[in-house]
Formats: sequence, structure tokens, C-alpha cells
Amino acid sequence: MSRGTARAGWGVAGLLFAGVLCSCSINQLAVRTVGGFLAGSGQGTVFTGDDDPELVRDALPFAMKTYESLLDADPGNAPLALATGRAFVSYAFAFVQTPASMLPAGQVDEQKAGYLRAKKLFLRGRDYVLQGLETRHRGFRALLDRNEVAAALKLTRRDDADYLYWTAAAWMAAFSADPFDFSLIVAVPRAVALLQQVNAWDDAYGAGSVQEILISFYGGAPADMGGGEDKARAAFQRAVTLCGGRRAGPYLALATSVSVKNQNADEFRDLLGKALAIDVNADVPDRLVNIINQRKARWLLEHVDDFFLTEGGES
Amino acid sequence: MRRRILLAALVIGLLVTAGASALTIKLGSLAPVGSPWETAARRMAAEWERISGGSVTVKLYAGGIAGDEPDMIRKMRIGTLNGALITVTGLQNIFNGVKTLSYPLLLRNDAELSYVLDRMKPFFSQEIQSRGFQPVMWAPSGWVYFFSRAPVVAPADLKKEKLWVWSGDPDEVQAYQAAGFQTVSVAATDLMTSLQGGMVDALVTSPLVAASSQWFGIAGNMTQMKLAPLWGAGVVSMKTWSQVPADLQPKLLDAAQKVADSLAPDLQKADSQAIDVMLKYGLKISPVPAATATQWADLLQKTFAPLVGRTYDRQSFDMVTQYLAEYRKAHPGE
Repeated sequence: MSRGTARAGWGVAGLLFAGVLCSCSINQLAVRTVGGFLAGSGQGTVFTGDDDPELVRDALPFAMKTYESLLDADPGNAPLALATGRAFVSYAFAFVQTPASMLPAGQVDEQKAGYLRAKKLFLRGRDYVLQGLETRHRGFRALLDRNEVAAALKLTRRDDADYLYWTAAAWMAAFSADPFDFSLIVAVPRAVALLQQVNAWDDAYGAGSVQEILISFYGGAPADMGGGEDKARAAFQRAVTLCGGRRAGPYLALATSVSVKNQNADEFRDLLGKALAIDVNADVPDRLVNIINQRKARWLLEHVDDFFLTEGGES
Repeated sequence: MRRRILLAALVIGLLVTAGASALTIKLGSLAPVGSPWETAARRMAAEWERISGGSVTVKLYAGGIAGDEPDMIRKMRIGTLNGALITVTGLQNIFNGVKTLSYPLLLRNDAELSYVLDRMKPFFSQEIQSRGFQPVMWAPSGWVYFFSRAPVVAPADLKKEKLWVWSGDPDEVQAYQAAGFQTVSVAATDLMTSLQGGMVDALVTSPLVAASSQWFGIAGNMTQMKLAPLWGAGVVSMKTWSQVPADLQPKLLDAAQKVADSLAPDLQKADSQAIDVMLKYGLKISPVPAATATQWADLLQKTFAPLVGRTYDRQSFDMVTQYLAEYRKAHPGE
């Protein structure tokens, strides 16, 4: 190889190398830009404000896979990890767990399969959010895995509230989908601790989103595991106040936990009636979840005798 | 003419079908929603509906919404509830002979339980039927062990611990106390608080319950000795059962028992998963050497023998011990 040829070779290599670097940077820039856009759009109402649940159900999986692809290319992008996790949790709740819960009683295996699929998606979502938290605070995940919750929370700041909330929401939703998974049972106190941290920073977080989860937890868990009717009712009052009574979720949460436990069918009907009275168009950001929750409320009212022993008279 | 007869037969057939009243059986259970027992009950319900062509349907009220077990039995007697899946603790409120199978350290393993239970079923069924209930399934549900704050290997270790006795049976409490154990009786709902506050140190429960209730977080030592089998049964009030067409009854019983039999592997898996998770979170398992196991057997025999004929039905006890001897003779060295 002549010196001139060698120089030309280095030149080509240099160009190629520069090109590779350049294309890497461009790719990275593109990923960051799209990722940032998508992560930001998660805050908007493109999905949550839609009035067509079926359209969103069909569109979300593509968005979720797009999020995953971008996150794969940019794993250190914490906001994108949060948005990815949030999409998985929302999809699993609205389009896997909720439809499974309304299957006819005889479809035992189909319902179980639906719940197990929802659990997998919830845990996948939780892990993405934890990936984001780990990017923000190295060591957080290890401390949480070792059940050193207080130490893990010491690493966090107020602007981690979204990450803690979505981790806890995903974890508790997974537990609700498979309440006999012992690895989830023992993790419930950790999820509650994350929610309580968010609440301590801002008790109006998400216009009552924390309280909405706590209604079901306090209403369903036994007293010696932290549950209690008084706590559930207090969380319900606070949630309704914070959202201005514009969300169906708190009504469903109290009806399906405390009212059923107390076998109070009148209260059950009253709460679900209030959930159905909400104008879904009055609050665009909550439109989709309100529509889905109202469908569930209607189904619950149609199946009231499945939950209340005395309904339908004595046998 | 032939067409007219066929048409008339069809119309009559439709009228008969429309007139046949469907039977809905309201079935209660303490089993939490999502638990293996609740799933099994729903499978049984689906099978009964399929076999009966929809003429027998079951509405399941799980998770204790139909009340605790004595309450469910009371509701079945007055007709508010038609059936229940209950543990041996609830079942003994109908016939206390069933408790004999849970006599501490009498049965040693699943094979013995299966052999003895199969032979006791006709007698238990007869006694339960005579008290107004039809047993529809028998379901073994694992074994109970000691869980304690400090490791318990020998009886002397347990005597240092405050032992929770749930049954509320004064005879049982007295028997434990006479044998030198310190007993504490509190409601199950207060157990965690009692463990946390140091009022209770030890309890008898299954790995599945210890994990799901998180009692093992304080009573973090498990004695590796199967104390007694945990089991239950499905019962339907005779008033309701008599409304099931006679030709359907054996088919429904067969389907229910098949579902119960299929539950055993799920429960074994759940118990084993529960132990794995508890080990990960600090559970310590104390093996019991053979000589110490003999000490336990001798002590508990002395403790519980006076209760035979009172808490434990004499006839049932004699039958169980006879079948057990028969099994052990045929399976020496097990």
C-alpha cells in the first residue's frame, strides 16, 4: 500500500468513522427528540382525553412498542422510561384487567388468563418506571429489592413523585390481578410506603390519584395489615374533594371494597349512581378513564346480586 | 297428521322447558378472591351449570362476605345461604367427629390422610346429612406447623413461647395449659397486633396463611414437623340439595369431587411458593430430629387424650385410629 493510498485509506476510514459517529449522534438525537416528544405527550390528552376506548385499545400497543424501541436505544432516558411504564400500566388496567373482571362467571380459565396477562404487563410497566428511577438515583432499585424502603426513599426528591406513584400503582395493580402471588403480597407494604411518600410531599397529588388507590387498599386489607374502613372513607372523601367529584374511580373503589364488605347494597347502588352521573365530557383529561369506569359501574349494577347475598330474596 | 303430532310434541317440550324452574345455589366461603379455593369453587360452579344444562347455577360469595363459618352455617339453616365451602373448624360446628382428622400428630402425611379420609367419608357424610347438610366435596388443604418468634425444635422450646390458640375451645386451652404451654386466645383479626406487641409469640398455621397474612414477619421460625392436616369440605343444605333432580345429584357430586382433587397440586405449589418467599424474607426452618419428634408425639398424646369423647368424637376417633393402624400395617416403614 503506497503512502498516498494509505493516507487515502485513513481518510476514508476517518470519513467512515466520522460518518458512524455522526449517524450515531443523529440517531441518538432523533431518539431523544422523539422520546422526549412521546414522554411529553404522555402528559397530554391524546390518549386519556379520547372518547373512543376501542380506538385507544387498538392504538396503544403500537405506541407501547414504539416507546420500548426508543427506550431500548436510549435506556438512560428517565422521562421516556416513565412514559413507557405508564403506558403499560394504563393499557393493562383499562384493556386487560377490567374486561377480564367483567367476563361471565363460568369463564374461569379465560378470566384467570386475563388477570395473569394483566399482572405481567403491570410488572413490565413497573420495571420501566424503576429503570427511570434507577437512572435518576443509582442504587434505588437494589435498596427497594432488599426491603430497605426508608433508605431508598431517602435518595428521592419531590420531583420523583411521578416515578414513585407509577411504581406503586403498577405494583399494587399487579397484586390485585394475582392476590395469591406471595412475592407480591410481601411487596405491598413497600408500594404503600411509596404512595405515602408521594402523599407526604403533596397530598393533592394528581387531584387525588394517591387517595384513589388507597381507598381500595384500606377498604380491602385486614386491619392488622394496615386496612380499615375509617381510613378508606377518609381517603374517599379526600379523593372526591380533590377531583371535584369529576372522577368515577373513587366511587367504584369505595363501592367494590367497603360497601361489598359491609354488604351494604344501598350504599353500593348510591355510589355507582354517582359515578354514572358524572359528565364524561366535563373533564377532558379524565374522559377515557371515566368512560371505562362508567362501563364497569353499569356492569356492577347489572350484577349486584353477585356481590350481595340478600339481593334477590331468600332462597 | 304426523307433522301435527311432532309440532304438538315440540310445543309441549318447549312449555315443559320454560316451566322448569332453575335452581340457584348461593355458596359462601371465607376463601379470598383469587385464592386456589375460590378458583376451585368457581370451577365447580361452571361444571354444575354445564352438567345440568343451566338448571343448577351457583352464585359464589367468597372472601367472607357471607359471614364467618358459624355465621354461614346459621344462614344455611335459615335459608339465606344454600351452601358453603368451610374448613374443618367450621365443619365441626355441624359434626365434631370431623375434627378427629386434625388431632395433632395423629396423621403423618398425605397418603395417610387420603387413605383414612376416603374410608371415613361414608360415616362423616351420614352424620352430616342427618344434621341437615349434604357434603359435596372433601378438600385437603395442606398441613399446619408451628411458627414462632424463637426457634422451636423440642417441646421445651415452645413452652417458653406464648402460644396463640384460636379455637376458643376451653377444653383445648386447658389441655395445652395442663401440659405446661402458655396459651393466649385472641381474635384472628387481632393476631398481628398481638404478635407486634409481644402478647403472642407462637401459633399453628399453614405456610400459605403465614405468608399471606405476613405473620411470619414476626413469628419467623417454622418447625419442620407436620402437626395436622388442614382440610375442608363443601356442603349444601339438604333443603336445597333435595331440589336437585335425583339423576343429576351423583353427577354433580362426582364433578365437585374431581375439582377438589385437582386442587391438591395447586395448593402444594402455593405452599411451596409461600415457603420460598418467606425464606427469601428471613424465615428460618428448624428441623426436628427423630428422637425429638417422639417427644412431641408423647407429649401431645398426653395433652389431647383427655379430650377424646369431648372435643373429639369418640366413635370417629376409634374409626380413624383403626383405619390408620390398617394403613400402617400395609405400609410398614413409611
